[in-house]
Amino acid sequence: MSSAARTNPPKVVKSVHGIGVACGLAAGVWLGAAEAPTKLVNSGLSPYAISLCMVAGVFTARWTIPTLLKGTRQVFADLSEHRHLIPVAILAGMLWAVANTLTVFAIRDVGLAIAFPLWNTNSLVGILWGRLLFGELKGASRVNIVKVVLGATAIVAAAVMLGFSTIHGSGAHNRAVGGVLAAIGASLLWGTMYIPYRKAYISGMNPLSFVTVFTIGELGTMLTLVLALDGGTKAAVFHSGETRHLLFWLFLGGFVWVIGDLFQQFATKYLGIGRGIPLSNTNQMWGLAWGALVFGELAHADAHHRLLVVIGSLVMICGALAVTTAVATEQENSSMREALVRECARYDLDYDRVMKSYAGQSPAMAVERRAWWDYVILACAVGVFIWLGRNAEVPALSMNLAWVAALTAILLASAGAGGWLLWKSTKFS
Amino acid sequence: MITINKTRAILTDIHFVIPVVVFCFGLALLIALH
Repeated sequence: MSSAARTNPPKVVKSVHGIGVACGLAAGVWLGAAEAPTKLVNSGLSPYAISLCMVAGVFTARWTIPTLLKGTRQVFADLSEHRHLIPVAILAGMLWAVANTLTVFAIRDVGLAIAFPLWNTNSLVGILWGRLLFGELKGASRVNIVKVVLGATAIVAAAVMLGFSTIHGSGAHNRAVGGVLAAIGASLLWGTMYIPYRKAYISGMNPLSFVTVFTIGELGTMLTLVLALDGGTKAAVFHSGETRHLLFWLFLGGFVWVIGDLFQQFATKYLGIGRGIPLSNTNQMWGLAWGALVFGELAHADAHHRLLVVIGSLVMICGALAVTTAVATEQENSSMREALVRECARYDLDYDRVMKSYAGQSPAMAVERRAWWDYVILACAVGVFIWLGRNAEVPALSMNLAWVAALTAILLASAGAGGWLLWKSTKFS
Repeated sequence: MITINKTRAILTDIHFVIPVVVFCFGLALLIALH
């Protein structure tokens, strides 16, 4: 079949924009909530230790709910079919691990409420890569281009406002520059991490398979960083009694993160980088909600500082919304399919099969039943969380429990809605 | 099995090369801040 014919297939592919939007919103809620446990960085553990614990939590959590969604048979069959994507998924995990460590430095030096929105500019990097590498916005309508460009500009303006408020605010003046640099570095790494995400999905890989390899990449990288830069085998994280009491909260952060990351990956699959990532980056609003409402982070901030944070956040959200309400036209979809054709040609993939997977139509293996060992794996992973929970101590942080309950209810509602929509439309394909 | 040709296809793929370069930059920044 000619390239032109392949980029103009019959219209059997249903619209997945709504599914992508729902996943992006749910990702925002969950990724925002996942940041709360990193406040334990004030506990005395190193940023590397905090990151390693969170990543171990992410790795463990991958084998809980995600294992229920798709069993290991389906995941490994998918991985076998897309072996060439395994190094790419590991690389994505490595990028995530380094970026996450940078964010812990950023939180330590300039605080969560400021660092969090700053590294959310990774959506700008994502838009750039989406356009350059995957044909996103190529052939888009003028309205859509304006929405994306204005939205992206608004996000940059918001980030500058938030960064400016950091430099002139009270607190860690000596480390503010380092903290801002760390947050910007995290933005670049995370923005680039979406290249492997998108590559995997235009090759027909399932997000759950991708996450499986991804978590191995991030755990291996964090372990290496601790061994190389944080004291080696004598690192406090391996020996400190304090670690055991904190581990549950960091694992909990990892659990929340992996759910958010899964939604983000589905959003990337069904919306593309340029639209999916800004939408999931509404997590800054939820991060602020947890920080301000639950932990009272802005309680002692002056009016000017608060105003900057609020306006910056609102502008960033408006920008992200403008970007993501730009529904792709058929001409733009055709450009994106060219990227898919490129993958098929380069790696000798079956175009029709890849196109079906890309559009959320699950291949035949979706009907496979779970293996018995899936339930053993699930029980082990849940057992780890229970064991850690029994050793956990409630951190000495003042928390508003009413807001904890309210925000947790929103978490569950968003996961329920997003999960139901994904199951109904795509069977988590 | 990934053949030599596929290995070459991966290693010379811009989708692989760019993340590798950015990863190296991020690692250098991390070491500098350490």
